[in-house]
Parts: sequence; structure tokens; C-alpha cells
Amino acid sequence: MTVADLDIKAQALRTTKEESQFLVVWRRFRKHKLALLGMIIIGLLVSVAVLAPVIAPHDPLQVLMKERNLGPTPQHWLGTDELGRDVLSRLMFAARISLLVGFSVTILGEALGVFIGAIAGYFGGWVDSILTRFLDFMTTLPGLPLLMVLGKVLADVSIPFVSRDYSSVVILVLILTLTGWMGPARLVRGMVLSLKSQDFTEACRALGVSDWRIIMRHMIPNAMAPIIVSATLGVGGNIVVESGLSFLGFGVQLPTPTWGNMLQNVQADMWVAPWKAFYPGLAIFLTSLSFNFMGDGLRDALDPRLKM
Amino acid sequence: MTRYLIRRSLQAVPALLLVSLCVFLMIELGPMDPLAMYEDNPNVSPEDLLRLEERLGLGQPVHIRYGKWLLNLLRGDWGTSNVTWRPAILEITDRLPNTLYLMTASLVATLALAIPLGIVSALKQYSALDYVATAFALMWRSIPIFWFGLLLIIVFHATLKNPFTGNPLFPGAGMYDIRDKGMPGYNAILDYAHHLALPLTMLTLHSAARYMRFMRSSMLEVIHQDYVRTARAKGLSERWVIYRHALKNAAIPLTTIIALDLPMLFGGALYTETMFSWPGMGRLFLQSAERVDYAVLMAIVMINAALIIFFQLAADVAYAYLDPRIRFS
Repeated sequence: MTVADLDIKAQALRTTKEESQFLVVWRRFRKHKLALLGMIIIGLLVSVAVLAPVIAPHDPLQVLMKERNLGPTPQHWLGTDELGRDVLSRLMFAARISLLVGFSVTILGEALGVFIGAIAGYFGGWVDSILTRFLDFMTTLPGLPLLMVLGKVLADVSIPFVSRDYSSVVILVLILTLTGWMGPARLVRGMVLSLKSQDFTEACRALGVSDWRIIMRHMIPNAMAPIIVSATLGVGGNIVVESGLSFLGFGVQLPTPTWGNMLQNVQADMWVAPWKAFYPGLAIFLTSLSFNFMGDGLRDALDPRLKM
Repeated sequence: MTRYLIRRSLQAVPALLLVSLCVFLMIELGPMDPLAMYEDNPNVSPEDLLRLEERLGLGQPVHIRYGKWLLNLLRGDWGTSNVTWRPAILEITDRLPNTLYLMTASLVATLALAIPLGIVSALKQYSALDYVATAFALMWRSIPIFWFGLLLIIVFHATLKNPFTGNPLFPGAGMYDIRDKGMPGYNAILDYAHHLALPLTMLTLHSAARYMRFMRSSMLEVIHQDYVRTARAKGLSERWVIYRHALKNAAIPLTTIIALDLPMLFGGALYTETMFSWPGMGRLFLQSAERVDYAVLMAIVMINAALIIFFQLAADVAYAYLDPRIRFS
């Protein structure tokens, strides 16, 4: 056997190994039928959101006062709202905002939380006590009420480079991120605390690996399973929070449609057009349910011992 | 133990100061003007506006105003509402009983529903009842509470009619019927219960799902413990094993969860109170936020934060009291 042969063999070995890791997770995930269903629904929702300008039958912002509060018709499959705007088109465009907010809040919040949690857990000592104290303080702030005051306070602020219609979206993402990183931080801090006392960390230190590199290459990757699970469950939760705030008028401002603010005027019109409540709420419910199922499936697939 | 309590209580002081400073600055830095509602009013002259501004101290710099607010608070004065011009604390004490009534009813109903269901679900794991209860809990984990409330109002208030009177089947707003009150034949208990039904359902099903899941997993964990096996092995009756040995231990984590939820009795339910026009704390908070009612807003946030801190401590103490394996360091 030549060296080249060995090299090829080694490469083949490596690829099968890496693939099998992914395959093991995928095989376990696939067994979870509801999780699979959740994944398919999320895939469909994302495609609808991306393709909204192409597949939406009407302009979501077009006002037609003559066609107010219609039930389902051949032109408007899901009817129209109080300004005669097509509900189906608004739902499709709302999916963009709702999913965008859900995904970006989760990604930013998890990143911030992982960063703070890893630093607190790894360095310990006074760094840890300051960060933990800060974490406790953030938890003491009354969540939802605070979000509402913030949303209201910042509602009229204009942000550079963002068009006025979308400034409330950006503000909402920032607010939800700043108030939503505590869970992941606590999770990662705990993981890092136990990881750093293990032998491989000791070995890294003995080899002279820098703290930063140990955190980035060893601590965080080893804590990845619970982070992925909490992020998946988090997307659904964030979409519900966003829609709740927008429903009360404290989140994304009209006319930009989101599933939450589409429900804003439903109660006022409940005698004339009660059906308007159905589809936006169903969209929120289905999305949140899908992410929860997928999170459960991922938890079982990535690490059956995880309890979250 | 005493030292631990004292240390934790002392730690609460800077935390509360920080909360108050944050919220104060947030309201202050925002673009909202508490006097905006008077500016368009033709009956309010510019001189009146200036007088109002002076009375509220709006002309002064932030740190002076915060200092004044804090000093007044230390003297027990929560300030004056700039909407109703009554003391802020009166605004709160007016609404608090209504919220306590709604939230206590919901907590009692939640526990009455969730605890037995969780226990049976755990004891008869994989039975039909367990599947139904778990599916219910999973659904309600994802259903947005405000959407469920909307559906309740639309179905039971706007659509279904009482076949005898032709009125909506359930009232959709308020705590009692203002027209019927004091009329001959008025039954207060029935009227209040009738108005409570929909908001109570909305709140209870949501939290019951959470508590049930919790009770179930807590119970499942306990019944596989060695001491439960020991209790069975020494020949105790199944009833005795479950209620004296398993349930008592499974209920310990539940106590903590309940303690952490208790501040909600004060804070109220934002969505429910708003949708059902319930004159409670949640709605007061929302209205104060909309009308930039400083004093009331600050008072609610501060009392809420203090209660959260207090009940976190209470939960820890309760846990240590119920589970002697836990010791404070």
C-alpha cells in the first residue's frame, strides 16, 4: 500500500464518519412523524413568504372601499378586510414579516446569549458574578409590559437606511432581542461550567490554546445540541410574542401587514365580519406548533438525554 | 438561613433602583409628550399648558425629576396621575380588587383542572386519557392566547344567542351588567359568574395546559424513584403510596412554579383584560402606557418588580423548607 492509497482511505473514512453523524441525527429525527410534518409546514411557509410578490393574487396594500369585509369570493379566496384589501395576499406578505422577525430575533438573541453565557461560565469569578447579576436583573424586569412601553416609546423613531414602513419592524427585532437572550445565556453558562472541568479542556490549556479559541472551538460546539433545540423552540415563541404585541398595536405598525396586526380590528368588526379572526390566527398557531414539534424532534434526535 | 434572607433582601434594593431608573429613562427619552392630549383642546390656553407643565415639573432636567420621584416614593408618595389628577396609588387600589378577583378565580380553576389531570396522566401513562391530555397540553403550548380569546368572544358572544332571550349567550365585556344592577330580581352572583365565564376560560385553559405538563413530568419522575418502590415493597396500599409518598414529593417543584406565578395576581392579564374590557390592572397599565401616565406607569412597574423579586425569594425558601436536601450557601 502506498502513501497515496492510505491518504485516499483516510479521506474516505473521514467522509463516511462525518456523513454518518448527520445521518444518525436525521434517522432519529425522521422517526418523529410530527417533527417531520412540522418541518414540511415550515418549508412551505418559508417558500410562500419568499415567493409572496410572485404568487399573491392581489396587492396587499390596495384599498378598495367598495369591497370591504367580504366573505370568500372567486376573486378573494379568503375574503377582504375592513379596507377591502385581499386577506390571502396580506397573509402571504405578513408571513414575510412574521417569519423574518421570528428568525432574526432568535438568531440575534441566541448569539448574544451564547456569547454572554460562554464568557460568564468560562471565566468564572467576578466576570461571572457581574454577568449573572445582570442576568437576574433582566429577569426581574416585567417582560410583556416592558416590551409594550418600549414599543410605544420607540414607535416614531426613524432609523437610518430603513424605510419608514419597516422601522417598526427593526425596532421590534431589537427590543425582542435585548429582552430575550437570558434563557440561552443561562443554558450555555451551565453547559460551559460542566465542560470546562473536563479533561479535554485541561489538555487544551496544557497545549497552550488561547482562552478565546477554547471557547469558540471547544465550549460552544459542545454546547450546540441544546442551543439548536432552544433556538427552534424559540422561533415559534418569538412569532407568538411579536404577533401579540402587533395585535395590541404596540408592535409592527399598519399598513405593513403581520399576522398579529391583521387581527387588530377583528373585535371591532365581530358582528359584521367574524370570519376575519380565523386565518391570521391559524397561521400563527400552525407556525408555532410546527416549530414546537420540530424542536421536540430535534431534541430527541440530537441528544435523547436532554430535558428541556 | 437568616443571613441568606438578609443578603438576598439587601441585593433587591439596587436591583429595584436600577429597574426604576431604566423605566424612568425609557419613558423620558421617548418621543411621547404627556401633555399632547391637551394641546389640541381649544379650552386649554397656552398659559394653562405652561401651568400644567410646571405642575408636572416637565421643564426640569431628568436627574432632578428622577431624584424628586425617588424622594417622594421614600416618603410613601407615588405621585399624581397626569390624566385623572388623582393620586397614582388610588388609581391602582381602584383596579386591584377586580384583577385579584379574576386572577384568583383563574388560579383556583387552573389548579383544580391541572393537578388531577397531571397525576392521572402520569399514573396511567400511554392511556387514552393521557394521550388526550398531552395533546391538549401540546396544542395550548402553541395557541396564541389572544387568538383563543378572540375565537371565544366571536363564537360565544357575537354568534351564539341565548334561545330564551335572544341576547348573546355570554357577555363579552365588563364585570357585571350596569343596566340590570339594582333592578328588581337582579342576582349579583349569577351576573358576575356569567361575565366571568369567557375571560376565565381564556386564562384557565392556557395556564392549565402548562401546569398539567409540569405536574405530569414531575409525577412521572417521582414514581420511578427508589423510595416509592420501597414504599410499595413494604406493603403499603397503592393509595397511600401515591398520595403520601409520591404526590408530596412531586408537588415540591409545582410549589415553586406557583410562587413564581403569584406576581401575576397583581399584574393582571394584559390580553384578557383588554379584550374583555375588564377594569383591572393589566388594562390600567395599557392605558397608562398609551396616555404616558408617568406616575401610574412607574408605580405599576415598581410594585410588579418588587413582587417578582419577593416571590423568587419566597420560592427558594419554600423549596428549601419542603426539600430538606437543599441547603443555602
